[in-house]
Amino acid sequence: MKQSSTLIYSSLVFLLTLILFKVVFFALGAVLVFLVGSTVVEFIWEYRESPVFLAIVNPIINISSSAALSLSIYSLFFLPIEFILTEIKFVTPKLPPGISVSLIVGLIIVFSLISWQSRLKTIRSYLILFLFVSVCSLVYFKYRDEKLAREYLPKIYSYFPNRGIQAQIIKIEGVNFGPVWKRGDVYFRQERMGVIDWREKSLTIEVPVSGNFGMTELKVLTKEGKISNPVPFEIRDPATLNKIEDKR
Amino acid sequence: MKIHFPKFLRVISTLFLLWFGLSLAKYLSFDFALDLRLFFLAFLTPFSLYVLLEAIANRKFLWEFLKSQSRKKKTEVTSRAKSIQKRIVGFSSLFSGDLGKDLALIIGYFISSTISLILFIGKILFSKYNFLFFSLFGILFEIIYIPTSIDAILIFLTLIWVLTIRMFKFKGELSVKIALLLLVLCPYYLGRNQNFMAEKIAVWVFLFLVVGVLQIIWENRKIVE
Repeated sequence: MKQSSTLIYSSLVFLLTLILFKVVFFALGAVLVFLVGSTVVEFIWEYRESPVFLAIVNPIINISSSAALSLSIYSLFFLPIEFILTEIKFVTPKLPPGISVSLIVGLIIVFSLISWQSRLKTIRSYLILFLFVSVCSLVYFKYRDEKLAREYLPKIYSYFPNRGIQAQIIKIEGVNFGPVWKRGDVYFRQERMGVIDWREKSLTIEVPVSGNFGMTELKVLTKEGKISNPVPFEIRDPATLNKIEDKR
Repeated sequence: MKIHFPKFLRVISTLFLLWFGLSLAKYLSFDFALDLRLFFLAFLTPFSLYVLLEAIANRKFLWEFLKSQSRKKKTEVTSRAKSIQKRIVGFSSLFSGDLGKDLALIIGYFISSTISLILFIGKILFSKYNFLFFSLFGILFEIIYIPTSIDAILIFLTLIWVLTIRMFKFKGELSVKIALLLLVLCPYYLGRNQNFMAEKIAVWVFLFLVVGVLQIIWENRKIVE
């Protein structure tokens, strides 16, 4: 790359990174990465016809293309779907690790069997591959941001029973409730429930005496003020239970 | 020796490269929701199977190679043992009889085998590839795992790197390029407020630059002469 164009591109990279991240060190780092990358690309381009180089670079291109594509498709499809299912739609524990590993191994096997050297012959094909990987990277970064934002929130995975009367003992299972010396509270509507046992991953609570009956939502509030996902809970009127027994 | 399963090799190489990349990414706090231990197992199992299949497919070559190596070693050990036997017999009249000569030969074989083993271990330990591996691995280990900066370790690793350069006849520019690569990491760690890591990397950038510049000066001096 000519010196003037190197200077222009480096300045553009510096300015863009500075605008996006507002940190000078990141901008300097990005310029360094760009300079190193362009040096590597120039080196590769200079020796691209060398037989020794071809013997080494061809397998590397094949392997790295397969790895990059496998990881990109995994990041583009599996990670967002898994996140939506386990964090947003249904708040559940993570999927078993074997599923993600099997999926990525399957993708690797499929992509490894394709000869990328015969498909990536022009600069355009490399650019398209780079663009695809970049888009998948953006999706991954968004997933990562969202995941980190929800990582330490308390989550209710299961609870039993899902309805009860006053003094009913309810067991709640989940994560991130906090240690026993940092007890939080459990609420339904604005009323606080009695806490019998408080652990990091399970709570035992008691339904208090309440005048409000019907469907409500249970929430866990930690000492740090973090609120969990709400779960439906029915407070039953004890009087209605007696009427059912009389009818029998 | 021929590679009989190139596609299998490609799959395993991709698995290993991805596992390595994911481990590095995890170290830099980029998690892909993958259990890396399970992933490594998913690489290790087919890798072991591949090694076994290649060994079976290349069994004739391997057998011939082992046979020739063992023949060579046997000749070497036997000739050394016989020369040791002669020295022992000449040293004392106790070994002049038939029994004494046999005993001297046994001692000769024992000493010769020990010498062969020591030479073999020395050849492996002091091979240039080992030096390259230990210098690069040692530097990474020092940056990542050693919580303090110990001058003796820095000097020792720098000397190992200098010896590696000598063994491989690397040019001075390589040290400068490695310094540049390491320099890229400094702003990243500074941005994450990991000043100590950035400082350690900066020390290595400086050391690589010093080695590289001195080597370039030396090379240019030789050209001028």
